[in-house]
Amino acid sequence: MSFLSKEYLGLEIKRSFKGNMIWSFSLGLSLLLIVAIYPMVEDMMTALTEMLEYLESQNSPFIAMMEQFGGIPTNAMEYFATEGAMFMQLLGGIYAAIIGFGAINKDEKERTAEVLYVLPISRSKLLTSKILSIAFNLFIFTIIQIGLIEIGFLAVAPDTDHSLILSFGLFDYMMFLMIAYMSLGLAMFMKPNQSSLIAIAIPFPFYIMTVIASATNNDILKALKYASPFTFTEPVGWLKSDHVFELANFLIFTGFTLIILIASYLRYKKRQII
Amino acid sequence: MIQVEDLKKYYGSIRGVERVTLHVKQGEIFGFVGPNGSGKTTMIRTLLGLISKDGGSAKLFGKEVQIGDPDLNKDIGYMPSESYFFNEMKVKDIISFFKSMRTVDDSYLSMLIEQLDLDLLKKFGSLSFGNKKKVGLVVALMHQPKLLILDEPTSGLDPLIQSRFLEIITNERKRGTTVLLSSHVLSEIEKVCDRVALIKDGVILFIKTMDEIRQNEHKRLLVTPNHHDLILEGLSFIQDFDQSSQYAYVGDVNLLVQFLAKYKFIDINIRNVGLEEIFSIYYQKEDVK
Repeated sequence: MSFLSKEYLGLEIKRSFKGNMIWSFSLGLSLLLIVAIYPMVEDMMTALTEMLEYLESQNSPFIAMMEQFGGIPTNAMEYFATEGAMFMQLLGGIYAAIIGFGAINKDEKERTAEVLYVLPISRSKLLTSKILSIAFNLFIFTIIQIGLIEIGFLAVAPDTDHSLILSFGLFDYMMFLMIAYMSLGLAMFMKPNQSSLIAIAIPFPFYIMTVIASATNNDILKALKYASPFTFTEPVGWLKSDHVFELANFLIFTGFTLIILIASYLRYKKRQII
Repeated sequence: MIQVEDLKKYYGSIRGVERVTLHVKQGEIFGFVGPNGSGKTTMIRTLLGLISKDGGSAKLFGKEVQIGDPDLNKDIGYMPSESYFFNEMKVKDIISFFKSMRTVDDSYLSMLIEQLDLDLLKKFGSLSFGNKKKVGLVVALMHQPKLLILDEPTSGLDPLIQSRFLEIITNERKRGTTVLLSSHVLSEIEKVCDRVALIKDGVILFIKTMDEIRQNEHKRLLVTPNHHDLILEGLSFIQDFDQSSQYAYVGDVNLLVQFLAKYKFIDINIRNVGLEEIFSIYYQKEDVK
């Protein structure tokens, strides 16, 4: 395969293996715990539903507000969508941003770029290998999340539609890739020696935009959903809308990510070590 | 092999190199000497296409150097002034990765590992400064490149490894390898280099063969007590210390000894002026200019 260096791809995966495993299992076990406690919170959900029925009979505005946020979960999947899947989105997005930024920044900060850039390998191949290494790491990361969530569901709610969990995983994986490549692009346009924490500036505003867009009736604010890749992965909205996929949002961010990747290739060809 | 003409590089308003012109011929070991901040590393990084130039030209193998152009790299071995590899990896894995990126003769690689006494099983991050440098040397040399660019290669190495390294690059020269050797250690420049360039404040002050430099070599004579009346061809008074007078001498040492025998001294010290002192004299001269 002439568009990448499999030796360098292997090196990148090897270098990031330990960190990837720590992030994967740290978040995955937290998600497993969230699913595992569902039987304990199920009664609480029932009590809350009864409380909401009473408030509804009193025409309380609180009901409308609760509906904006997806209402009270009525089954294990809705509970996970509210409590776990959003957690996975945000923390996974942060992780994706850090590894995307680090793919460029790490070698420059640790000064290993000086020996890598004098190898007989084009910058395009180096970058392709980095891009594929990110895709591989995020794939493993997502598989571990979904695997541990599945274990939780098999234990506490085996009748759950497991294709929904796989769908969450697939949507999240695509979103993680977008965030990671946007962060890689950000690193490409910044000077070396910046902290990887800068990359967190990417997922946070996007996440907040999706939360605001889904919690309002204002048309202008609702339009914010198109400006965030968290929208097409938003689990509660997807479940409540009978699994209608936000295709426009997905296509906007797929296009945006591709533009960033093209710009990154052009930029990386001429990138200096200082 | 290396052709640099009027090379200029600034980092914003800070000078990297101001005006560098030098030509290195194939098969020679070319020393590149200068104080810290003189522009040695900037010139090397420009030559390797790691940073852009602001003016002039830099060619390797007759081809203009471009940033991110990998074609030239297969014939170059480079060792930066500080050795940075992947801290979390074992030395053997680092060597194995770089070997996979090059065409390497296994027996030569084994010889390098043995000669430089490399510990393959330790993680790179746990190595001392000197041992990290040894990994850098093996990576730079392993593919027996046509051109070796070495930035301060022996700093931090113990004397035995330094001497083995010098032996290795001397053997490489015999094979036709060209070496650009940037160093502060003038004794090693003296031992192996054919020519040497002195750079200061981003400007090349001179390029001379080692023979030309040695022609300027002289002896220093220190006589106690003070004497200002020693007159001999080639002998020139420099300065007085407390009880002693210092002279420079260029010429036959036997004539000097015969001449000094006519006088009565408490003590006489005759020593050779080394390359280091010669360079120091050049520095001072250029400062005066």
